[in-house]
Amino acid sequence: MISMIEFTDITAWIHSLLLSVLTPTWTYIVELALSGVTALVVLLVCVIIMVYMERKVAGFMQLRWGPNRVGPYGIFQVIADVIKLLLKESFSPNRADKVMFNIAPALALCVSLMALAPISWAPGLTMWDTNIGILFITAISSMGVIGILMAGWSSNNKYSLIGAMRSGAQIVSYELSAGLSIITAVALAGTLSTNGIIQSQADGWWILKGQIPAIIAFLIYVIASTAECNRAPFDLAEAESELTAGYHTEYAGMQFGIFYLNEYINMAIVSIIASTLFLGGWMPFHLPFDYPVVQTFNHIMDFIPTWMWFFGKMFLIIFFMMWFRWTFPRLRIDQLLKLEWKYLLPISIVNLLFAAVIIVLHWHL
Amino acid sequence: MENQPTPSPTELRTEEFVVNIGPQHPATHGVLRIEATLDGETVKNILPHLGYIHRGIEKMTESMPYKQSIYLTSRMDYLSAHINNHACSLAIENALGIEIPARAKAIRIIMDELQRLTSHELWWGSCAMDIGAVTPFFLGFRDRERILEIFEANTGNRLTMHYIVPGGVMRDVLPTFVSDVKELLKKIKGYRHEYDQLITGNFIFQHRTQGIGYLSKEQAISLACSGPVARASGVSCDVRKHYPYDGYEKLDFKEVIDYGCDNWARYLVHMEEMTQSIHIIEQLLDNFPTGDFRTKIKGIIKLPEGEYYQRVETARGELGVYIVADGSNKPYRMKFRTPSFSNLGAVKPTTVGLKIADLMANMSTIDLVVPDIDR
Amino acid sequence: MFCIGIYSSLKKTGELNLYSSLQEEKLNIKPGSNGTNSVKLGKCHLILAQKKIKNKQMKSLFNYIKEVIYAFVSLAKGLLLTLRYFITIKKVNITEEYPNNRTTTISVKERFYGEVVLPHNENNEHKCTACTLCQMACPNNSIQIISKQIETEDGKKKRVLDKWVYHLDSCTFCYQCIDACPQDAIEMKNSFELSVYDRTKLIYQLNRPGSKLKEKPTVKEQQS
Ligand code: SF4
Ligand code: SF4
Repeated sequence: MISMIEFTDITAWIHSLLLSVLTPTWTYIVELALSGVTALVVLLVCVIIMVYMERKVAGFMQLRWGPNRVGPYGIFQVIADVIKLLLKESFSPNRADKVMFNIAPALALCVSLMALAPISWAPGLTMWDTNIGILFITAISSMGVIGILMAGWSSNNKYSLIGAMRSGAQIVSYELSAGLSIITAVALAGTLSTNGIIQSQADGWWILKGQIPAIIAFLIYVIASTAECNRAPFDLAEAESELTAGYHTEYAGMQFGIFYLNEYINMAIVSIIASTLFLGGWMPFHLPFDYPVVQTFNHIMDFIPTWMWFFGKMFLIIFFMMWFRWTFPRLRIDQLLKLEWKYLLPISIVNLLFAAVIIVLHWHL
Repeated sequence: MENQPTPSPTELRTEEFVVNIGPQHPATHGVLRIEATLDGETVKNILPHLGYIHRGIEKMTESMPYKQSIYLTSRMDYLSAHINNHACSLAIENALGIEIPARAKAIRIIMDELQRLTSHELWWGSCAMDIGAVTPFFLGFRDRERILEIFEANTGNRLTMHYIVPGGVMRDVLPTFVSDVKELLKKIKGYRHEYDQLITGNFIFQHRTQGIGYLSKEQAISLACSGPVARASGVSCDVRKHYPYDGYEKLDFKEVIDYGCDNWARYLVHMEEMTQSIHIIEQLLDNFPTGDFRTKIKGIIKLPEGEYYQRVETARGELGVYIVADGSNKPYRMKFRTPSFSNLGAVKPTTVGLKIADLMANMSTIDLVVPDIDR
Repeated sequence: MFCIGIYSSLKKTGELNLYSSLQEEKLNIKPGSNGTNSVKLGKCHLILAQKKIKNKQMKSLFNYIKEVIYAFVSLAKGLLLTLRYFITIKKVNITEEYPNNRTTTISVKERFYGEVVLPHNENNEHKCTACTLCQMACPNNSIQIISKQIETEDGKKKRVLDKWVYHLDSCTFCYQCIDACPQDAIEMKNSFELSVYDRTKLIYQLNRPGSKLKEKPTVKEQQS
């Protein structure tokens, strides 16, 4: 019935095409490069959409139109901004640690791009289909702080330093509850592989099937990942009204642009992970019941292509993060840490126990 | 700080460092430099440096005839331009012994209170912005804009008005003034619940303000604080109540006092003052006097020799105008006791020992206007 | 608003150790010493502070849960407001879109002080008698009245306006010149697009070339 071309068909076709002209080793290398470039391009397109979306969301929530000068509805605003950033001089402060200063943005970008590898984009479309995908992501995401710390330290600016130190404290502590809520989903699914987790949600997303623990874990994950991305209300590393621009105060031109890009890539990755774990990634919306009506409903849902589900969920979570940013005041550093250690962490530990009980007793659907 | 015990070698030793916050900084709302000594995140000492926007207004007035120098006062606290003009005009009128018409008085008070509303609305937005929420800033500006439209229609200017002059007001208000303001107040009242929904009730905001920035009553008095800052510390200091001018004594309004002494109390006082301002304007609109808007004064004002002092309540506190006249058409000396200058002193006692983020929160609830500090 | 104040003070547990001593200080302040004219916002703080100390140990877990719930409810309220704006942006939008609306919806009030003008009537006549009162009234010397002596038909010498020079670059739009003019010769115009690239272009001569003083109607004419 569904005669749409699946992504697996395309990849298989490319694979056979390459094999017919190249040796297997070269095929492997070319495929690696191809998949990397494709993922990067898709991500960059997403970032462009996100930057535009952020401005529009901010504008609409602040009773204004947002960008509307460059192109119809201002859709070329991002391109204009990128051109501006490229044309600007990237200079480093006089007594900065030049090497570290110049490496920091690139390092931050590399780290966040690494987390792309185990992501399952569509059925059968994963760059690195490993059985420890989620573990890899958790390991990588805590490394993001290194770039920020380097930037803050090497700038030779007190604002940058404070921002970087804040960011360090923040990311290290929020890593815990993010990890615990990831574990909740992993425990429900019984696997660490991203594809496996998505497959386990074929008869309904975990946020529906997993009862209350899954909902709580999802909320905690969204909060903690907002904090990990240094987004408001946890944007203490930048804290515009306190530290002017935080760790990237001294950066200009495209070096600043990379930090900016990095923030959005992080956001994209975090929301992809959240949707993978709790909202079924590319899996269409299915209800976990056995009535004929429900079956029909599930079939109807299958008609919506998987890429639509994938990006729809991703942008939904991103919208939530933007919505938070343009509504809430910023927390103070001690409140931020208190929120983590006194509220999120205990709640997620209790929640994990609760989830374990549910799993052991097979109460989840 | 001096007699800190020397840390033992095993103890983690931290070092203080100095950060210059300002003159260009998003939180200072102008060119104020604050030399903050920090120990990590904790503020150890605060040293404000003034003078970046000193224009010598007091000295300039000495070379200008009385009538002409008033327009300069709009540039001191540009968010209370009407009220500053009012203070100067009152001082001159009292010195000359002029009685001004009832309509002029009513217009003056309405303009003053509208100005207080604009100032508090802007304050609300910028206070929320200092605490990290950007959206309220636009809401504050939206409501302020409606009032500025009334100013523009009646006084010709939006920010630095020169409308209240000795003898009354510069021009009569438009015939539609009363209905315009009534409509405006209705709109503003309708918006008030959004303020509460977005910021007052917000959990994060409450935690950022409650119990932070403690300024005791004694400190407030000894630092000569005035306005909402002092009233939030339990000091009854509303000039409109204690030294009423231009008919405030006939109006029914309450002096807003809170005993909370913290940022939250300051916030509540500001919010409640807006309600009171609306209440004052409504009373005046109900029976808006007709008649003259200005007593004619001769072209060149010469104050009799002597010293004159007049105080008014601006949006930020007590503004005092002190004139030493030598009988000529120019003041011998004109001194302004501006509220922001003395309120600035409250930044240090409220902040020392707290975090950097609290410094911004304190500065925003103390409501500093930098040109008012420097003059 | 007060309700919110009360509610939020309730949930303030005793975690502000730094301020615990200050809280006690607060308790000693007696409200009500300022006569009947004051709104006592502090009262709720006070009562609640006392209550809080009493209940501190008993209800800590209950308070913990209540705090979490209150936090979610209060944050959700704010989120709903911004969501409402987001959805109904067409209605609530406040952008002026200035350069696009300069010929349509832009509202510049009649009285807006844009620049000083010297109106001329259809016979190229203005009302300025070159008395220089406006020049004296101007606090920042934005006005220069240059007059010249001419001889009228009946041989009398008369001072008339030669050049009415207006420095828009230093004008502060204080309206004092217009207020001072005994002839009502000058006015404020509500023009607002005045920017130029060179500030010397902002020095205007307000009287048109060849213009002359509008003769005052004599007493006889006025009566008729
Ligand atoms: S408006 Fe004021 S500053 Fe401008 S020319 Fe007239 S008196 Fe001078
Ligand atoms: S404009 Fe008026 S005040 Fe100025 S010189 Fe002419 S008549 Fe006199």
